[in-house]
Amino acid sequence: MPRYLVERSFPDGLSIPMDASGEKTCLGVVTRNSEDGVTWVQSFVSEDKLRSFCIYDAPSPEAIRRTAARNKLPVDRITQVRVLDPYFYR
Amino acid sequence: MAVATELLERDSQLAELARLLESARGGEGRIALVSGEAGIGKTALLTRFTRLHAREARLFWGACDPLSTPRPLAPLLDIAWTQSGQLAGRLTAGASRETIFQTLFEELRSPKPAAIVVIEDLHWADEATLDLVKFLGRRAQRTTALLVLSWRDESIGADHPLRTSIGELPREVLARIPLRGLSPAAVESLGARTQRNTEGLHAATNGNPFFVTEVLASEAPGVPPTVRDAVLARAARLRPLARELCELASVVPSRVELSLLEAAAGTTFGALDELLGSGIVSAQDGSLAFRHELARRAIEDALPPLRSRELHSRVLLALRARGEEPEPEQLARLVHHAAGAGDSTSVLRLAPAAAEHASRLGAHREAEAHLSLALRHAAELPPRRRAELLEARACECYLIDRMQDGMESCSAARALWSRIGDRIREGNCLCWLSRMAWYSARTEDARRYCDLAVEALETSAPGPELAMAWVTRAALHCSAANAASAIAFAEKALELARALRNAEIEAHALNMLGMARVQLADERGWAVLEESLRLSLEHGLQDAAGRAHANLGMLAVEERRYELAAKALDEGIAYATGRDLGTRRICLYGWRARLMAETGRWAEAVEDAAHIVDNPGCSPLFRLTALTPLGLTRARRGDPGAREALDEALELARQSGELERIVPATAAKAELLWLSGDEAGAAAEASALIERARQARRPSYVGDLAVWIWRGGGQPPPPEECARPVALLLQGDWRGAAAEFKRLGCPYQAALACAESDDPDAIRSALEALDELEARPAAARLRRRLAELGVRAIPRGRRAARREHPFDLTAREQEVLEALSLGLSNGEIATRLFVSPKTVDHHVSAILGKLDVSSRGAAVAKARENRLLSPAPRETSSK
Repeated sequence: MPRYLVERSFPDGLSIPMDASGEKTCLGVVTRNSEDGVTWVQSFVSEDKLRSFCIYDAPSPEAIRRTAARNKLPVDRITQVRVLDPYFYR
Repeated sequence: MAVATELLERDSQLAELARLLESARGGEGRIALVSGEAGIGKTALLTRFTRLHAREARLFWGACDPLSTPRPLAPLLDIAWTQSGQLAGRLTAGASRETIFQTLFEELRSPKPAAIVVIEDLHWADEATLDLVKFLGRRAQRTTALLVLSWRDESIGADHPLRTSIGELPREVLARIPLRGLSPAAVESLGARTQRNTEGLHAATNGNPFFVTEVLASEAPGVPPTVRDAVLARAARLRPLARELCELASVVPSRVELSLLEAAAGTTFGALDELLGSGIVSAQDGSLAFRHELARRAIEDALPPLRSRELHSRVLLALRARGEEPEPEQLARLVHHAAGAGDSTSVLRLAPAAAEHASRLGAHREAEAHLSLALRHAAELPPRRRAELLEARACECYLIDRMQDGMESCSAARALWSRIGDRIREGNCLCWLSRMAWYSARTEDARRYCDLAVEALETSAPGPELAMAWVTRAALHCSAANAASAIAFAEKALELARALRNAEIEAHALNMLGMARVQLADERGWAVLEESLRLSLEHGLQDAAGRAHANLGMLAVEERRYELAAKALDEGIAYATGRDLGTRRICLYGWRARLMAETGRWAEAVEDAAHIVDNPGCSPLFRLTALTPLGLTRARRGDPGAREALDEALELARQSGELERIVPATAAKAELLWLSGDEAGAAAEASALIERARQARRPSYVGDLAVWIWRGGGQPPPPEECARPVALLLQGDWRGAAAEFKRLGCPYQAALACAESDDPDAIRSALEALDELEARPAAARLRRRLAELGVRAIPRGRRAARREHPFDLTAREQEVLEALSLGLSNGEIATRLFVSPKTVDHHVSAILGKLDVSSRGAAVAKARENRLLSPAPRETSSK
């Protein structure tokens, strides 16, 4: 399955509480993703919490956009990526 | 499937199901999807659930068949059996599928008392049952029923038809209830009850309840490596007679009536009590069933081949002894055992009848399977009979979009007819071959077959076959942009069809005539196309109606008459869906995807395209029709995969050799190159095809290519050869072009036209439109252009996330809401938004639901209250 980097911006900042409700939010995203065969691998969030860079496995870019709409997450740009490992040649 | 013994760790699932049943009772039907591996306890869970609610809800329970080719509508037969209502009567009276489905729906419709409808083991479902699921699913909200669907995860691969059916169910009523294995603690508690050491049991079984209990019951030392070994170990302890009876029962899928078992077993039947006592099987309602289908399969699969044949022929004999004429719904069962017994004579007698029954109920996949089976046993048949079977199979293959297989059968049939010397049947086969070759994007072959068909048929007296061959030739001329020749053959076919009083061929011939006239820019063509559609609908001619919708929609998209196109395509899709015309429906989705892509509705475009692209078995022609708008939409949104989709589309289009496919794919590829900054590449791509387009004299084709030659800095053809908006653009009138694109309903192209100006304000407003459309690459080009013009304050573009709607309305629903606030009727809204009034009706009910109000007026009031409406009524009809 292809891997994608999804860039998002959050004008009001991204805040996920570090408690049960935050867990519920994240698990809700995971469940809704699975309906389209989309797997959220991990995300990197900028210090100011205005941007995020998320790694996804998904069958197509359309699946990413569809789940983003269901999860009410913005999408700025989707790029298909591959892993480059610095220690690959050792 | 399993008979319930224990139910551990399923409380949350029971609570979820109870909650869903509650909302169903309140008049909002729900669908629960219960999935998990074999033996995980799906049946056990549902049995417990239905027992718990037996007093407050009516129960409808049906299961799909594990027969090699399932009986059509097997679960409905179960349901009818247990219900004394109209359903059973309609089924035995041989009512049409629509009537049968409708009868069940009426039984569940609000305000009838609440009901639980269980359809089990959908991984084995026949095609007609999957259609029933879609039928009920689409109407779920209007019922008081909880529809529970269960299947085995591991049995549905990526291309299993169940996936598509589930994907088409309305999301808002769905709840997924996946079942997982038991925890180590639960496994331990089960072991404790049998006083067994459970060490390693959880790890070996992954907590699968059936596997666990089977191991515990086998009393074998240690844990067997697979569930199959556990079952066989348990059966090995039976004494010879009971074992023989067990083996006999194992060749009958799902369950076997005791009377049948007795007839087939003879004296061995005396071991029934011992077999029941072993716990491997249980008896219920006069039938005997294995504790789980897994157990039955384990025993059946371990039978040596000759033994298996012998047991099947004993069951077949017993079934036959029940009466001389088998009931139609028993045919599939008889075929299963006849094939298992290797009894060719019986297969040849039963399978074609089973195929006919399945086909009549719309289970075309099953019909094809029965015919294929018959053909495997047909070596000894006389050639005429074999040719008929081959033709019947080719026809089923065509209906389920398996053109390759269809062509193989049809070629074999043609060879037989030729040997027999029946030129008319041979010509008829050739005509079918031509059509299937065309759908496979093999235009050259299609032409060759068509020529041979006409040649074969012109030697006999003119009949319907010849008229149809002429229609086929006209269609090929149309696709080759050779409209003048198409008209000649369409007129010949029309005259013959009218002389023969054959409305079907008349409708097809009119369709070709209309199409060719429109291609020659003869406005009268549109009325002829409408006439063909009217005639097809009036006479209930499904194939002709499908073709009429498709060709009208396609031409209207090409000529940018989006309102007419949307109407034809929406109605065509509804028509084909209601009648299970898979091939037609898929073709219509492809053209609607293009309509959506050209009118800036990206999400709808990719959704329509996905119906085709996600279906790996689809014919190349349909795939190509969908790949072009998919790739184009990806290019316009700046998503990855645009080049891959368009390159594949171009390759298939070139293979088909047809301008109507190559032009859109080429224009899309040129646009992708232009968006990525390769302007010379864009011009070169479009220039390579422009002479062919000019020769065809289709202004829409010439215009679609000319615009990229011009933008890429190449030498475009004279403006007067192009469709109007492009002609204006080429003459330097960007303002006129933008207005024209806007009027036609193409906001994206309108914005690109504005971008040609040197006026920063015009570019800025184009940029705004592109940002609104989320057309990132084009917007980026415009930002660069503003910078070149020395503009400092370049709008940064909206920072997404604005999408969140307080009441969860989609962009489309918001548009409809705005229109409602202007007091427009559904018809007026439909015209504005280029959709059918039915679609508007859909949106309106969704809006009422989301705003939680019961009338349009109340919706508008609530929208005002919550400031959901734009400050001033908007001018534009599409965003």
